[in-house]
Amino acid sequence: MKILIVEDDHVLCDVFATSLRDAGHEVHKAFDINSAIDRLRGRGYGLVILDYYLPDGISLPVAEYTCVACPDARIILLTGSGVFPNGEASILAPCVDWMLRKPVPLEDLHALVDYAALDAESRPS
Amino acid sequence: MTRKGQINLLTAFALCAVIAGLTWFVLDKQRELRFRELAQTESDFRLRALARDVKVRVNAIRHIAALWRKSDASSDEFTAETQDYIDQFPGIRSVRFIDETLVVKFVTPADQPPATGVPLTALGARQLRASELARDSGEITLSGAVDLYDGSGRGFVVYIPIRRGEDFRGLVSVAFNAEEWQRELLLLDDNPHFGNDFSIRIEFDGSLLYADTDFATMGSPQVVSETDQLWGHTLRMQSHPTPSFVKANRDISPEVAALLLGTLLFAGYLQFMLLHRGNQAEARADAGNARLRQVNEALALEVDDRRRAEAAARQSQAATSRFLTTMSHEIRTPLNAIMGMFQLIEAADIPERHRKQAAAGYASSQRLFRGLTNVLEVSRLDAGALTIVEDHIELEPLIANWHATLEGIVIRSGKPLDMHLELGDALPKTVHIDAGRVTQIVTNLVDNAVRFTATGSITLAVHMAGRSGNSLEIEVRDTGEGIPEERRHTVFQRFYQLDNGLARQHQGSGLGLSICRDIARLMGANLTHSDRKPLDVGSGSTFTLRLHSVHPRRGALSE
Repeated sequence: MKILIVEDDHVLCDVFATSLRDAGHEVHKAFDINSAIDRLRGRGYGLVILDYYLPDGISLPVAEYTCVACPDARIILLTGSGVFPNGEASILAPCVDWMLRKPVPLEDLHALVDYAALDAESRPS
Repeated sequence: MTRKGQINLLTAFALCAVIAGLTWFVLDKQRELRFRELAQTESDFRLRALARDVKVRVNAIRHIAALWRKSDASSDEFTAETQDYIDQFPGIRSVRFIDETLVVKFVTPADQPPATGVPLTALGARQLRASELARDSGEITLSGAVDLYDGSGRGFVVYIPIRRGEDFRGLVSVAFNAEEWQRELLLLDDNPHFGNDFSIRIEFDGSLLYADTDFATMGSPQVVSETDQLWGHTLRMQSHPTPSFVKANRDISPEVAALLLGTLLFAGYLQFMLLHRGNQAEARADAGNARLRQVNEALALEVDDRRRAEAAARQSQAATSRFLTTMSHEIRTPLNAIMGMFQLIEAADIPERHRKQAAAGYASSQRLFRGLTNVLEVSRLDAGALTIVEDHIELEPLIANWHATLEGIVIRSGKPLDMHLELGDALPKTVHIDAGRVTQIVTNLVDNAVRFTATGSITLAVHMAGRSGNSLEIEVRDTGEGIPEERRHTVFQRFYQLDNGLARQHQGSGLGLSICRDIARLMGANLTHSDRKPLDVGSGSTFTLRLHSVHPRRGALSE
């Protein structure tokens, strides 16, 4: 599956990317909102892993843009803050499909990514 | 009113009374003087009226004397003339003709003694003397006050000599009854009430002629009239004004004037005092107002200061909150990277020894994460930056979430633990709680339970409790080693863990339960601990979170 990881911490971004690449996914990286939006244009991602806080702001606009640029993409929101402790992001930001709180164990991430891949395959498009 | 004020008022009143009294005294003297003058005038006028009356009456009888000018008159002639005269002048007792030998010759009225033939020598010294004087001098004479011969009381007699040429032919005498005469004055009596207004005493040459019966008993001031001369005799009158005269001439002007003056003075004093007091009160009020304004200004400044300080505190609190939120993110992200790194290494194709090292690194970073999370939470609690946001939350998904958390923790721990979920009967569909904070507490309790339980089971129980069934009670029960009796009171204290050995074994900061209790308190909830029975270490622990008034509008889950 084609995955975009938007995470400003390069090391964490690399960890996720390495792990997901090892699992056989095509992974691209972005470190801020602008580069994320650049990358989203016409690439046909199946999944976007989005950090909540980015250097140039809160990443929810990226989620909204994803809905437009890649309507099929699922979005996992990662957050280290206590802003959405109970999954409220799914209400406040309708484009967000799941939310994981940092630190995210790799097995949890893999489980969710596999679930999203299965979900994408089962859809008619 | 103060005592001083009362004394001042009394003094002013007394002063006014004294002034009014003095005024009355002076005016009263003047009134008395006026009254006396009035009485004097009346009495003098009365005396003159008396004297003139006698003269008029005597002049009127002179024509009888004229009968004897040519020849001696007869008894009939005399009677006819004199009877008219007596009728005309009431108060004349009798008229007589006395011949030259001073013997009574004619009498009118005829029955009046002394009768014809009585010599004047029998009538007493005064009458005799007066008649002899009249005979000798040829002038009219008066007897003075005498007791009348007929016994009708006091009176006086006037003798008019009759001469024909140089010859003395006799005397005409007129007897006046004093009582009748003074009552029946004919002329110039323009005060018909005199008899009622005054009680009088009339004297001839100091001897009593007439006195009213009540004269001696009258207490009112005596007025002595001027004297009047009647043919060598002094006529004098004393008089007492009677109560009727006093009443008719009553004059209350001194009393009125004094009262008015006193009242006006006192009223003036009161007015002055009122004005004075008003000014004083105004001055006092002004001073009070000024003080109040000062205090107000000071207060306003203080309020401003406090408001500024409060705003600054709020700002600083907000800054703290922002800082902690950011820190949470800033710490979690690199930690996540470290943990991911260890996991990647662990998954790589490396010798077993290195894999174990990576696993240890991962476990340590997990511990570090938990510790940092706790420290951040404590900081947030201490800074007051931890807020409770209650909302209507569906209970069923929430419980499912907790159960999933429990499962996840148990699975990750790799311990052979059974999991149970117990749900009460009347659970509402929605509850009004801060779901995030409650989840945080439940997660912490479950995490604790799993950590301190080696074998057995963990039970999550949710049911309604409280007298009105309006409290949500969440229990986490384990079958771990429990907490010894002597340590139970320290369970919720910060940085406390069962013992060092266990602490090392279980690897916690000892902050979790204290944070849970603090958050529970913030929500107005209770977090309590109890042992399962029997009360032995090893029988496990039960932590109970009781949330109050979670469902104001009651309803069952099945609604």
